[in-house]
Amino acid sequence: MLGLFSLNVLLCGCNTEKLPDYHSDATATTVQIKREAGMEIALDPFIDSRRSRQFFGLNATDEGIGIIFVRISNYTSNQTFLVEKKNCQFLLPGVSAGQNPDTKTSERVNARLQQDSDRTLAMQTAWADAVMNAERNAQISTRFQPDMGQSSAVESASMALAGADVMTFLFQFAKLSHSTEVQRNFVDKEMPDQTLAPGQSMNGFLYYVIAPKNHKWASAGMMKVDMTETRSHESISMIIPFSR
Amino acid sequence: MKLKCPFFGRIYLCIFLLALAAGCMDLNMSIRPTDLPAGDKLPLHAVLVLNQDLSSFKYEYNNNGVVYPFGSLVQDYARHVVSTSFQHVDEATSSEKAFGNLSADIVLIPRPVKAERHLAMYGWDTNDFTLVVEWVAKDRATRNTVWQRTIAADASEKLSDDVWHPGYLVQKLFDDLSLKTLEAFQKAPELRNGVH
Repeated sequence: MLGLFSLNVLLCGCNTEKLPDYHSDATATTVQIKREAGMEIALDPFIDSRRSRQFFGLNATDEGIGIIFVRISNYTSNQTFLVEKKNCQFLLPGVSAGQNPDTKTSERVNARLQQDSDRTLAMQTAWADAVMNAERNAQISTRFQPDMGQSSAVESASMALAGADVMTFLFQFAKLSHSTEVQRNFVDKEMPDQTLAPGQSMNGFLYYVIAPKNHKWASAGMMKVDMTETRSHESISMIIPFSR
Repeated sequence: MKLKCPFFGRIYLCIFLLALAAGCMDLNMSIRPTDLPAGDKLPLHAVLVLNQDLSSFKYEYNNNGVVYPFGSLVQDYARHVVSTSFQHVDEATSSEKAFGNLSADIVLIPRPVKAERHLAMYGWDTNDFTLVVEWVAKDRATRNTVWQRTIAADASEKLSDDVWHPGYLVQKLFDDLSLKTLEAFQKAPELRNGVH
């Protein structure tokens, strides 16, 4: 019983960890930088699952999510630019239409993790049923064989069932806790829409739906960023490949 | 001795329900206005748009029926921060009405974007709340966007504290939102240098 509880604490403890803030490493080999007309854009696609798990709590590629860290800086002397997520399009060679960022990623991820939670619950329920059968058999056994340490078999089965009950609940709760943190974290780290005055910079993550669910999106993909100067309404457009 | 099997499960169920109850109790809470540092007000006449999107904003926690009706809290926050930041403030219920205020310099349009909450598992873990609000300032005369910021406010409270003081987390959330918004207004060169 105590063992089961300890196992739960260990397993669930892994799931309640708060996801850390991300601080960009400009020297990382995955960072691509382009400067044009006084505006600089740095992109860092999260290809490896290690970083994805560390900062988002899941393997994003396996979930069909392309995660890209973006930093935009305004080095002009007198121009302010409006940067909006809808104007940061993901391009793939051979695909004519660019893809806008997915602003519903957090909701989709939560729904997916909740499905996992339901599956876990089903497994736990099945296990609890098995333990209940064991308890019933033990009761029958003690009824007909009173010399075999009657109560111990019933006690152990009952304790196992109590453990199963706790375990089911804790697993379910841990999954819920984890999925809410993953969902909140996606929202918290998302790149904002904002104006950039001279000397200012901004950063954040953009999320895209990727198919197929492998790393090819990062090796072949590009990002097209359109930014509008707020006084003249003139736009500048930059295309940055994800890899050299 | 025979153990009652669901006993331990029920203990944890009680804890879980208490945690959820903290959310339920948030429904009718009111918060006090954030203490904002007094500074130089921006020399602009602003019209604050408090439209239907703002007043009806609510957050449904994890689709489980627990609803946070944030509309009035967001309206009060917007009023408080804008009146602290600008020399002259009027209000309007729509952008069109705001642009019709011919004596104004700018029109300020706040828009709640998203809210998400993390539910902690253990008493020593923290419940975390994130609320994202976008602010757009438009030149009243030309209707051009002159400034835009998206403010992401965060607040954390230990689960054990959140259960007994359910209002603290939301209070912290709006305190963080108010201070970040004030700072964004004060540091905006587009607003500080005048619009025209």
